[in-house]
Amino acid sequence: MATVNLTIDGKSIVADETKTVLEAALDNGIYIPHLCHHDDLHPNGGCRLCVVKQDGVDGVITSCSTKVKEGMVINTKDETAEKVRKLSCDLMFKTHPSECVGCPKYGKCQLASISQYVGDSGRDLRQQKLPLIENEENPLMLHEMYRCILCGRCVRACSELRGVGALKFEKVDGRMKVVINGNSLEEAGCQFCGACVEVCPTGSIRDKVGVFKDDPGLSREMKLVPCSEGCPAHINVPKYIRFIKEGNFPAAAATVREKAPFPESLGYICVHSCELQCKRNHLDGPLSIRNLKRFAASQDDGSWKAKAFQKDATGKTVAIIGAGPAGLTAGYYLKKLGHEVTIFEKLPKAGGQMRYGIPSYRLPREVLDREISEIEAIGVEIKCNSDIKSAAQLKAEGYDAVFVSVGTHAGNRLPLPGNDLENVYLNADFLRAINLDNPLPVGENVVVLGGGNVAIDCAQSAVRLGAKHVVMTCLEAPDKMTASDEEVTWAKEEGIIVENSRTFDAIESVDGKVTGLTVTGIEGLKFGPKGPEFTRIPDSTVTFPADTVIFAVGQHPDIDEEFGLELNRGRVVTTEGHKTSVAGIYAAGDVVTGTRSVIAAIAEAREAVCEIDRYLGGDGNIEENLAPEQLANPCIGKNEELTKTHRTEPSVNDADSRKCNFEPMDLGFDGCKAGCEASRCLQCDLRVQISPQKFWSDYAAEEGGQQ
Amino acid sequence: MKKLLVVSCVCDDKFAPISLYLMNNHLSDVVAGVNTKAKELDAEIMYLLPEGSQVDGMEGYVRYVDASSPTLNNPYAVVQVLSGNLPRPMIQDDFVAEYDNKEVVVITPEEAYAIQCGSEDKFVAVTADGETEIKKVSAGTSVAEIADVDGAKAILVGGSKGKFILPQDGENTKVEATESFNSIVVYKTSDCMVDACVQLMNQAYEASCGKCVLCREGTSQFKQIVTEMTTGKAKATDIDLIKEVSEIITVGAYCPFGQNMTKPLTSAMELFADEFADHIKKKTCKCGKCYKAATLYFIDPDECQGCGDCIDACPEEAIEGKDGFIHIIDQDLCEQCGKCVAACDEGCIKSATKLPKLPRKRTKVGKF
Repeated sequence: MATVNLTIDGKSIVADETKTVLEAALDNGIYIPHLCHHDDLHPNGGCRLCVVKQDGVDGVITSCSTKVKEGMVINTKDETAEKVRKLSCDLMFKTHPSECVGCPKYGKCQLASISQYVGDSGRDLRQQKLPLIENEENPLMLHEMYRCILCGRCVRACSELRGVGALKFEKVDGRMKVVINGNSLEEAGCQFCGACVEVCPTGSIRDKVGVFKDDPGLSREMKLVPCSEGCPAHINVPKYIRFIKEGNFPAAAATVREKAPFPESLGYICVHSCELQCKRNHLDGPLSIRNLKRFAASQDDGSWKAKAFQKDATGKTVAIIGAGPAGLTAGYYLKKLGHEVTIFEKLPKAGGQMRYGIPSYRLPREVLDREISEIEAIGVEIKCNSDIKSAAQLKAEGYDAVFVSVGTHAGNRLPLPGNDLENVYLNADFLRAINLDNPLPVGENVVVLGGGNVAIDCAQSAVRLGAKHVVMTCLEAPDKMTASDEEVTWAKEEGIIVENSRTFDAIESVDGKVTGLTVTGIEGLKFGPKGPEFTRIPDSTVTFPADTVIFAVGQHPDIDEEFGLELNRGRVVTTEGHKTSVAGIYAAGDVVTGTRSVIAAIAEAREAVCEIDRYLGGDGNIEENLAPEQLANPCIGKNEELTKTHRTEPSVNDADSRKCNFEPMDLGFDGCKAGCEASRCLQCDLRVQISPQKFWSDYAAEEGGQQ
Repeated sequence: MKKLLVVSCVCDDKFAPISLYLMNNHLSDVVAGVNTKAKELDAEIMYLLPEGSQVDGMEGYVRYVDASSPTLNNPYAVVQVLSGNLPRPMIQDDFVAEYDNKEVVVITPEEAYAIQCGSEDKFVAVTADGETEIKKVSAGTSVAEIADVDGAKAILVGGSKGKFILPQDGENTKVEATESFNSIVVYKTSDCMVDACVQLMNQAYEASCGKCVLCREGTSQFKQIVTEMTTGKAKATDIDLIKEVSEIITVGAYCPFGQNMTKPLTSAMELFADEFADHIKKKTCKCGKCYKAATLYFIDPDECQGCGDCIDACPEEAIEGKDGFIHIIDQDLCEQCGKCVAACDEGCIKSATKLPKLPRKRTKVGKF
């Protein structure tokens, strides 16, 4: 590429001939104010802020739309140019609200920043404030156009970058305005990509409050892509959904695997925090991300293996206690980092809660077995039926590091009269026994105490073991239950009765045999520092007849002081970096946090692996690119039907056919449903491609410039 | 890339409707000029005509658009209009305006005519007494020869982008072969120059495409300030303000229209400084145009329900009143915008040149 020599503010500059004067100046640490210019948009030239003086040319030139030429002599601080800038700034502020402090964009407004730089001339021009019309009716986006200074970036972004054209200029009562190109954004074919928000220099077009997290600690990418941020492992959700849309299912599976070694299992049972964060929640309901993942993972062809890293052996040894999702994940990555890994598992098979907690009708065991065998295939040794009583002692046996991931395999027993009767079970024991092929006997009438997903698992399992009447009861009101809505619906379909807002008084018995559970209605439930607080409703005490009672009110680690680590309320205490009280012993997953989720355990195990690797002398880097590069086309075009499609529901076996066995009940998506659902994605990640807005102080800091 | 030669008949100055005149009266010459140019460029031809216009004998590819703008001699502005958007020019190095995968080149009928017939023949629109006549003159003819300027007060030469001259300068102002004016507007001694500028600034505000801040907001400011000169709100400092701002706009605006739209106003202020000063300081208009009993709005005290809708609608906060009390318009603050009339569901805001008897103090609805 040819270059040209020019002088800007006395500084000799060599610039590529394709650059504009503005770009050449900014590249060289010389700041020229500019507002309608945006790095990703075609030059416009309307704001008149970037005008500069060129020697030998009358008046001023527009630096954003003038190409550099050999021998050009430019003065950015020319008196006339500065006058033009000041006047432009003055004029813009005559229609823009003068009070900045109340504006949501305060502190992040490019107009305010530029006016500070350019300065105010104090001219007695007329205030021509625009009427204060707040148009909050749009989904996801807020149009407060009385702040608009008509730079036109939004209009250009919508048409140039996206090919949508949902915004346009129009003269309304003589005054130029940016308006929606139709009666509503939906009708205008808006795809809610947020490009307009991203480029708006003022507070005119903004994201609605609550669509994105306003957490200054989040990176721009995490803030703008809520599904990835919501996922504890930060799986690149939009990327794999786009692969699914393109029909490249193995690439989608590989994308998931970059952050988690159980793509398909997660596809069945993940708590899908991603879906809770999905921007489409604010439109017509979230994407069915978990089912998309499940379908893609079922189509995995193993092509990712060729790209997976495997470091040379380091000669270090690591012992892992507990082969649940955390332990298996840690083992997998530590082995890939070159360490010798041995996983000790108390139970007969690996899998932890994925095998001994989650029922097989939710997670088919062949899926789990297949994913565990991938981990064993790279040389991770799993020793089952190995009960480790003390982590400290294991470390002392000569392992370079120990990772504790024993989970929470002991159920909580509430202090109720009758809680130790025969046929009173704990969730963990009840579910584990089923998966050890030795289920605990259930009678005809089963009452489950608890309102979470585990309580649902217990209730549905009881149905499948032959119980005739199953009641679930919990403190929480229907909308406050921790179980997901979908699970509650399915449970009810199977005839399970959910009794909400009850406190448990006693387990009744006759001759040592359970006869029922007495509960009292409550209201005003709050969770204070000492546990739940509520008011008992008088005369609302009833007894649910029962011959079997199952506590599903939380679980705790099945370890004690003998384990050799500092514990708090039964959980292993860790400090930053997943370190326990003993050097070289790390812990993560439910054993540290209490019962959470498979994906959280995986995410924490990955973090712990980085720490352990650094402790063992490695660089702690486990990032890998297993999926092919993806070119996301930003030009998405109009879609007037966008809000007319709705969340695709999976095929689910009907209640009668599923409640008599432990076979999978949710059949997920087929390729057609997956493709259809994937096309609903709003592609939030496209917005990250847009260059972030810069302020004059950014250029100064970045280029070490003169400002 | 293929080229498309667009013959733009929609970029005329308000005062110089030359394009359609040429199309209707010299079509063969214009077409011949267009064809010559098209051959030179190897371009296809499109005629861009205002919606509703009719040119007899017109053949070829014609598009009618409901837009007219001084920027529509800019290829990008033309492309915008052809794509259904508002016209906005693009003035940039190496910029190629594309439409239908063709590079757009714009020519006006006047330019086409000049290609065919040479640039000695000029067309000038002369407006006097509200009548516009288009005259064919030769380069070198003076304003005084084209129009009857005897006894006129001022002559606007060059329309929206032109300037005012005094009649005695009519002999020295001549039509040039290139870069000339194509309109003359004769103002009579009974015409108020401030009022004339109000009209001109209103037109400039309407003509501004809105792309560039200086032109968009400049026309809006000038329109307001000059209007204030006719209602007694302007300040003595406004003269200098307009001069200073105009100078900057002339240098800094984006396109030729923006750069020149200040000239009619500044030239009028220069030539008729006393008249402007009278308006601002003495608040009088010798021509009797301004400061006339303007339409006054008032709230009929017998009908007002005291609902407050008009109070909310008034941008000047000129309406006083409380819930259940008869509302009153403060005539000193009222700008006669009429928004309250539209806001009142009861239709009790009325207009008159003289105010009827109205409550002087806060009065309950129905108690007047």
